[in-house]
Amino acid sequence: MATRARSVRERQQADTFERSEQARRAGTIFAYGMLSFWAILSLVPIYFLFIMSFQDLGVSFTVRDIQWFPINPNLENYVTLFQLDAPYWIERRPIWRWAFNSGLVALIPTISNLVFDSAAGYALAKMRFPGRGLIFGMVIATMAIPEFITFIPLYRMMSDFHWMNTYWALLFPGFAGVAGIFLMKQSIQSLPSSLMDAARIDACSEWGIFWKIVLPLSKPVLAIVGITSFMAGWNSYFWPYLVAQSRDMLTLQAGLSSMMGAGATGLPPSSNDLGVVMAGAALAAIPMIVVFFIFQKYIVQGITVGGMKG
Amino acid sequence: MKSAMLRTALLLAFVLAFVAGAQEFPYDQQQDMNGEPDTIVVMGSSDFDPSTPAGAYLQEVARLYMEQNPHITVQMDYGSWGDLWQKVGVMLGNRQGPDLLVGPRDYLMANGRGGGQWEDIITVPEDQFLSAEAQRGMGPTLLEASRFPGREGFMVWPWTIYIDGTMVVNGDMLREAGYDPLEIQQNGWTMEEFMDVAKQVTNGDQYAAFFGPMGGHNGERIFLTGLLSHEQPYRLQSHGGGNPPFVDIETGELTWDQEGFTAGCQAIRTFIDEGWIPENTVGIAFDESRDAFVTGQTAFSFDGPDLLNLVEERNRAIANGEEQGEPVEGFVVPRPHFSGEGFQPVPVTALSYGYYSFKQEPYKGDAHTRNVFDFARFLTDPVFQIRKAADDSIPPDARVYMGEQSWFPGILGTGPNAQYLQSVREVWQPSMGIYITMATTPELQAALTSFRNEVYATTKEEVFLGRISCDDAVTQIQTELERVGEQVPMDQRLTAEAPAIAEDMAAFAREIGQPE
Amino acid sequence: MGDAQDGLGWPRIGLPNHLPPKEMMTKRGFFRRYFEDSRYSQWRWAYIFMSVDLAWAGLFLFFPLALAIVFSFQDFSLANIGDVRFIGFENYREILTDTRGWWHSVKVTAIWTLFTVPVNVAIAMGLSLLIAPLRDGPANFFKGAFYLPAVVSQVVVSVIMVWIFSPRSGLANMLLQSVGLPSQRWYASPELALFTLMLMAWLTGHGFGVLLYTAALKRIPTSLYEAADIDATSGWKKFWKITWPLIKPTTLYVTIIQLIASFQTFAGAFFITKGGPLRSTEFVNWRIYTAFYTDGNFGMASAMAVVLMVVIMMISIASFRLLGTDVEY
Repeated sequence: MATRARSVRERQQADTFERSEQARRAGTIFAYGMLSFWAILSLVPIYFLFIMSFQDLGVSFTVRDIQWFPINPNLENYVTLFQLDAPYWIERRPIWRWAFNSGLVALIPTISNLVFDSAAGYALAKMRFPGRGLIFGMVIATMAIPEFITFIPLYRMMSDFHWMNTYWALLFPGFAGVAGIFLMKQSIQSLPSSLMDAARIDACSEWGIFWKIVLPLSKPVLAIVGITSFMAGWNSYFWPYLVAQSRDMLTLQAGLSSMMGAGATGLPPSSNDLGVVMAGAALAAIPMIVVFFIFQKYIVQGITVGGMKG
Repeated sequence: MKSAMLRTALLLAFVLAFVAGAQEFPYDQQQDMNGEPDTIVVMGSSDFDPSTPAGAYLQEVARLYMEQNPHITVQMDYGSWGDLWQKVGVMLGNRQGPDLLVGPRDYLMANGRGGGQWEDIITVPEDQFLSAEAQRGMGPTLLEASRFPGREGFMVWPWTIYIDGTMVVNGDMLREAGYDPLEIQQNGWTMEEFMDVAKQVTNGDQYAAFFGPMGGHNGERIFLTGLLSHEQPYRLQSHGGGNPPFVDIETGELTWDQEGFTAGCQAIRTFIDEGWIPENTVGIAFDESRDAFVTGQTAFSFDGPDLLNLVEERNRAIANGEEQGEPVEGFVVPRPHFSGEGFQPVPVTALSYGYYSFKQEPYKGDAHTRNVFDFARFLTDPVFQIRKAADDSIPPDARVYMGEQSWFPGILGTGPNAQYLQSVREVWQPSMGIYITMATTPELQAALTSFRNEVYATTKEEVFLGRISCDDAVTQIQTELERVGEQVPMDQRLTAEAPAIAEDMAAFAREIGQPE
Repeated sequence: MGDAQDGLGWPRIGLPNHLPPKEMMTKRGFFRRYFEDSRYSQWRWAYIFMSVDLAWAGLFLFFPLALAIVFSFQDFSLANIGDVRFIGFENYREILTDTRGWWHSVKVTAIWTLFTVPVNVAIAMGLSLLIAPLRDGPANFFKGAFYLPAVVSQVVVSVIMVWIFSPRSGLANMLLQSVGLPSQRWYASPELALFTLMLMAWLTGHGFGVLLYTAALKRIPTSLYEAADIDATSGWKKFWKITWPLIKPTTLYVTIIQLIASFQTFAGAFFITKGGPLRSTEFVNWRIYTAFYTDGNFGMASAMAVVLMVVIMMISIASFRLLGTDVEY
């Protein structure tokens, strides 16, 4: 184009630069302010969780003792949780066994979800085959129905398989995560097909495309699938409680929930000690926080390795 | 390297999965010593939680039983109250209920729960599982309360009774207002006296007589005193939960106690209008209102006597210096009643809590059923409990809790509260709601359930919130009830059993001195 | 390329187009050709990729789902557990004519969805747009802060929420009073109960959305923005021209997940309001829950759940049509 036009544009650019410098600073302050505000709001429950776990709350399931800062903070709740000084006639809670179970319930389905959901998601996103729409519809339908509606047939199934009170019942239904399929499909769909077509021309097998191209590019989403399915497994409590018959087969969350006693519904005997439950919940939260930060690393890594820069 | 990592992870997953499978809990694998190996699954709420004294005791009893019967494995499955009933629902939906379930009859078979689970609950003839001494030990009222009069028992073994129709008061506040809690405990009191106390103890934001009614809890029960203390033929009285039955099982008419409703309605409105119930407590969480009594912020609570446990617990914490505040002296007293024509003292209703068994599909065999009942007997045997208590192998708190002398944990020592509860035993009535449900058809039950949820409960809430006057509330409920009547014609309302049940109830009313 | 690029990906039974050509069916060597032809080889690969998940989901998810649909045509409840029988569409007829019960809860749920889904998607997107330009350290901190509440169990969160919004002396009322506003009755007031639950939804629980959006934003090549910078495009325009289309798949996903979650919303009613006061928070899922667990009426609960499922599916299809143009870069 003409020189004159270019100079106008340069001037515009200079203007924009100055303005954008100021705007950027204001924007950064605004961003930090806004984010901090929301972060504080989000962290309030966690803050109180930890505060309450260090406080003696008594047996009444009550709100009277929630304080900004704990009065006489102590470790009593944690001691009770592990029943370190339990009298001889009180059976100790198998809390480590619960933690182990929780770990299994969280970890194994997470691994299976990462592998199989991404494969299924890839097939649904990038391949045409008969039944594709139907399968995808089923995936959405499964997500759209309240989970407990399927508990009756599932319970029957577990008991017919003689899986009650075993790890099979605890783990197997979690192996196929429809939410993971849906997320992977949506994400892989936005990968350029040209990459895959190029690989096909290079005589790369479909498996090779999936393994070498799709998976590395999907790292951030895989991390999200990992976080969510780990968290779903770790937090699940009703299903483990439903299929367990003995104390030893509960998960941490199910065990904690069973300590809530009669609770708000009010019929005695109510024996809940909210402080102990809070201590348990605080401990149960820690592994998830760790896992979150492990996976989060991959979300960030995904961009640097992704090599998608146009 | 990445793929190596993933592969390792995959391998690890499967190894773990198989190890996990091999770790199967030794279920049904006991060696036979003097019988076929058998497993008994007992379910309950926190009843079996070993971190509570009572739960630890029951676990101990189960362990003892297993020692004596090595071929039997007892599994005690407990969860929180809400979880427990969800799990039981799923299990019963598959006709695979637990071998034994401990819970209150009225909850298991409440109207809201379809009222029909009794179909699958095993019916046990009385003499088959209750020895003569056991019956004497449990007391006739307890037995009566756990079964329908004139019908076979539904409970494998009765265990504990909870009562409805009493309340707890703050002794100090009552004395300050010039009333003697012990005297009230003995002789009862009227609504006027109750209101007089309320007026005197309310002190701005500091103290209130009472905290908010809503959603079926606590405060709402002032309202219920109207229905409960109004004299009505026994079959029309409000039993248990305090909702009117809305149907006369003798005639099939849809009818309800408008006079009792109005009396209760005006009482609760007075409480709110006068500020004896602070307006900002209407609808607060149940725990918060319970807590207000425990911490001495309110003078009354319409909770059961078990609330005094929390009071005790807090008093103990104050004595130990773990908590700050003034200790509260709690008394369990009769609920106030209206004094006018046609009103009577509020009858105390008993809610029985015990072990249930369910029909199994497929049937697990006679031997299994025998084992289950044998264990239930062992678990609840009063003679056995007394012996255990005597040789000190039951922890002190649990001792108070278990056995026929001790329905109310911790509070039934020797004090006036214990004496009062002991005397209440002689007069309480079984809660009859389910009996009435049994006389009605599923169609009417369904129509009445949605009527209760969508009209009756909502109208009451409107009263509490001051949206509607008591007269308008009566009109609204009456109009909607008539609509239910149009929906379910007269000949489709009652079951074939209804006349017999009505007769039963009339006979029972004569026996306990209630209007027929 | 075009062939695999069906952006909608929504029920479109692909069968007729994908049958092998007629002449192929008649010739010898059908199977050999069939597998050599890349199009059909794709079928095979697709099924292989999905086999494990399909087998598993088929057994533990689709099969129970199908049974639940069967239950919805039955008179199946704890009250007549010994005599379960098919009653055709009776359950559905009862639900759809129940104006005071079912349709009331539909209304409540619709209001809830209308006010939470768009707002929550917008908040998650907004927060992510604010996080995106930050350095890794603070960005990670904020992502963590938004996500961490999810690690706390719902029971615990609801205990704390009840305390915060207590009509008597909760934190929320303390804040209102400190700025001179009258205190409110929050969840105890029929007018404010639903709003209180909405407030809880708006203020917390954006972690998942933020993670997805930040991941999506990071994948947008910076070169696109650089080009826009050279063209001196305004920030707003940059967003609409570059960011918005490129994060559309994420928006679609987040929207649908939020839609499903909001139609199934339940925790607030379960832990805090019990559907009240004056039934102002009686969500559809709360109704299904009480039908299932409290009344033990499994047939009716299944029928309601199926109706809910159909509604969610229909709205999801609409969202796919609305937001579903496929984008790559």
